[in-house]
Amino acid sequence: MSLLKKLLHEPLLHFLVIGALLFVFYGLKNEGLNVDDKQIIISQDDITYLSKQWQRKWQRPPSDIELQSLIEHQIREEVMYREALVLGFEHNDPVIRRRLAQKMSFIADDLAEQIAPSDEDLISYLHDNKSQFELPARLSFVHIYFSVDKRGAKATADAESLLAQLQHTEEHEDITILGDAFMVSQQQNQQSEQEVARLFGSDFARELFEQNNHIWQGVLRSAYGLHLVRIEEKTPAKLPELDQVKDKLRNAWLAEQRATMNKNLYESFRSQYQVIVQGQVIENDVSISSQ
Amino acid sequence: MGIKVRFFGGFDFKQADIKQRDIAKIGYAKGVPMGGDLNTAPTGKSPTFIVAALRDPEGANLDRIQIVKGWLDKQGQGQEKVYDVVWGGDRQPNTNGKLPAVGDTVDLTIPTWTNTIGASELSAVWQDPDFNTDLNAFYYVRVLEIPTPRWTAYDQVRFKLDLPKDIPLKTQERAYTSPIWYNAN
Repeated sequence: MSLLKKLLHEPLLHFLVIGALLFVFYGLKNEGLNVDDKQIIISQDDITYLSKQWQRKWQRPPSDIELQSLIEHQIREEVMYREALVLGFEHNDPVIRRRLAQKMSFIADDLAEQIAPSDEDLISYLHDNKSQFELPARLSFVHIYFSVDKRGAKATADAESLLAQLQHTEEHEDITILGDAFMVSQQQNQQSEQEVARLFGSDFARELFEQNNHIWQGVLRSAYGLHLVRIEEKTPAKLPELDQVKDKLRNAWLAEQRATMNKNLYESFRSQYQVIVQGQVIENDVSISSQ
Repeated sequence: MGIKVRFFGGFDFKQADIKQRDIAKIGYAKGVPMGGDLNTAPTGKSPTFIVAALRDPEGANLDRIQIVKGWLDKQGQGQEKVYDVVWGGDRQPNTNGKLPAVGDTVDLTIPTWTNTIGASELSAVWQDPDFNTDLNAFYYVRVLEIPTPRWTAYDQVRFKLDLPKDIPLKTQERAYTSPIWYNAN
């Protein structure tokens, strides 16, 4: 089992296996098409394939004339392709070079897709990448606003005197008539620090999230003026359950696998080369992108 | 984030409505929100609007709220008129009815600005003074911020650029609402 697992993570082996498969596959597909001869054979299978490709694009089968021109096009491409090979046009073409190099990384990508992560893999990935998946702390609170624009220097004293009054009353007052009118609702439910920052400014949000007591507190300064606040409920930050983020986790996990596979594949090839830059031998540098 | 704007139109908004705690409540009770339609005015009444704006918590103070009215004249040409509805500070319109500029706190060397002019929030009830019952019209709101450095000003400082004279370095950011439509019939 562990050997198999180890083999499954060996990129060079993957490469060889896939390479062999591709070779066999394309060999079978191109059966009867002899590249060496000046002969081009379009089989019934080729025509069916062209027709299906057309249908996928246009949502209907090609007409006879359209099919005829598809075949013409195919023949033309084959002729030009072969003549280009005869002239060696595949060499020293930056577009073709890039495409071929890219195809190598597709192999690693495809390999990564074959591996399905277990729940344990995903859970450990979740714990290794807490900050990326953590659900932020949330607060429900009410606030009373004192407009500095309207009250000027009196605003602080007004807020403080109301705070003293509120802290000494047992019952909950009707706060909708206290303080000044404000376009942001007095009742805020289940807001994250980021969401509070978007409404009141980031300094206010930071200060508010440091509070824990469920009593009237203040005076907090927002981007607009002064506020008295009472926290009603605080939900601490926590990691989500696996089921809530399974798809996201799987995608992130696969992306990481792809990156690792690509990196390993590249390094296993790279180690076989001696690279000299301006007379200096460059050691296998793992920081070089696998792309 | 961004400037918050609320805008309602109806035929019965009173000056006192602006003192209401919840503008949405009075707005929906007595009128239609932005994007809505006002149909054939009751005899002797002109449309009234209630508008309120709150600046971005991290952004610049507000200079003024404007209502832009548009209609087609007798020749079928589009016409527009901009009304200053409410503004920050102690400014008075001059004899031509033009409101003086809010001022400018921009320091281009940093660049930055200060919220020492303008207002955090503005609100008003406004009635169309030039209303014609038989003419289709639209009304939308424009909220102007006080002048702030334009992106070119930030680039100029960060990259130590010598910019041509015709590149604007300051701007007044703004918020627009959808219109409220008056349908004559």
